[in-house]
Amino acid sequence: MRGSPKSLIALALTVAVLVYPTTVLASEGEGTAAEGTIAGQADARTNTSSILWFGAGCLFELLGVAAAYLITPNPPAMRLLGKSPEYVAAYTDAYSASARSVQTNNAWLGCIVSTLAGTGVYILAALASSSQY
Amino acid sequence: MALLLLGALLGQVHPFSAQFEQVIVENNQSDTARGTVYFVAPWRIYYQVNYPLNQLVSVVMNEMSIYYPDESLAYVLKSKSQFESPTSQLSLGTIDPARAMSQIGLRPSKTRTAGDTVYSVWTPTDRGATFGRFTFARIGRATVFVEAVRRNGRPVVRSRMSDHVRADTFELPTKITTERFDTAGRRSLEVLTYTALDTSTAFLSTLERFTIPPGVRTKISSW
Repeated sequence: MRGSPKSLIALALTVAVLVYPTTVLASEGEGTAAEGTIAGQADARTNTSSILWFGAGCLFELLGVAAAYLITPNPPAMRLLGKSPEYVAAYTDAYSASARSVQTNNAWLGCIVSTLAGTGVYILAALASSSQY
Repeated sequence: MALLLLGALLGQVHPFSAQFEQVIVENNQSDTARGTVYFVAPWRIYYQVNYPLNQLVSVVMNEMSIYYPDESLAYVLKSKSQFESPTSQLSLGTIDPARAMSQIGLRPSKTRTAGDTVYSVWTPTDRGATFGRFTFARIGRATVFVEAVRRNGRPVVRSRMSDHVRADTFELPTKITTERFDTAGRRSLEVLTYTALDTSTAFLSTLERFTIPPGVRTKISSW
């Protein structure tokens, strides 16, 4: 707890915490399975970066898509405090499925866009090349 | 990276226990959980929830266990990466923005003082950054307000911290009110309150009770 390195870490952490987008869903009491499903889906959609996975698909193409299928973000523990077993089970299942869906959809989209753009550039280059002869 | 930073920071904080209350409000509905948090290390945190139900939660490295003693039921989530630390909000009160914002691609754009509160505004040097501005307010060494807004000027999150207590050289806030705004502008409110902060380590020998006993029906999920 001495010196500037910790302050640097603390400050960088603050930004990390702030930029980590999370949502909350309110429910009455311990939460039902249906509420858990809705909350898990909503949190996963908010916490999963579409832009990041679109970029991964664009840059790494099929490797980016593969990563989207393999990586699943962890559910936030605070969302499960005080929740019933049914809620926890539904929330975690929905969170996993929704996060993976967002990731893979956007990675595929990025991959397709990248491929189409590459193909377009190739065709244009070929046309330009053939017109010179 | 956030987890690494969080680990590094919270690694400096000594073990403690505290009563906590978490209230989440959205769409005019509130959701409350109360209990005791036992902080051993950033990668080893335990929650004994006693409202609205009895629940023992442990977040240890890449594994989160949720045990319901009344139902004799447990869930274990195993992940390839470390779980987000539930106490991350506590760290917000330890911030000294002047020291390190530039290290993470932000530059000071404005500072003003109102009474004993110093406000500093930071903007990203990268024009492509998602966020448009961060504002910090501090009273002495304690950060009392943090706001992040998008480039279009809409807020992302606002946190107000109060009732700080000194823990080592940190000023830890024991009341944290956080407003979050999604991309559609919907607002949710989270209020975290910590009381009875105890930095003695006597609780360390009592953490065995968080272990899921043999014979308990357990669902294990691998992430």
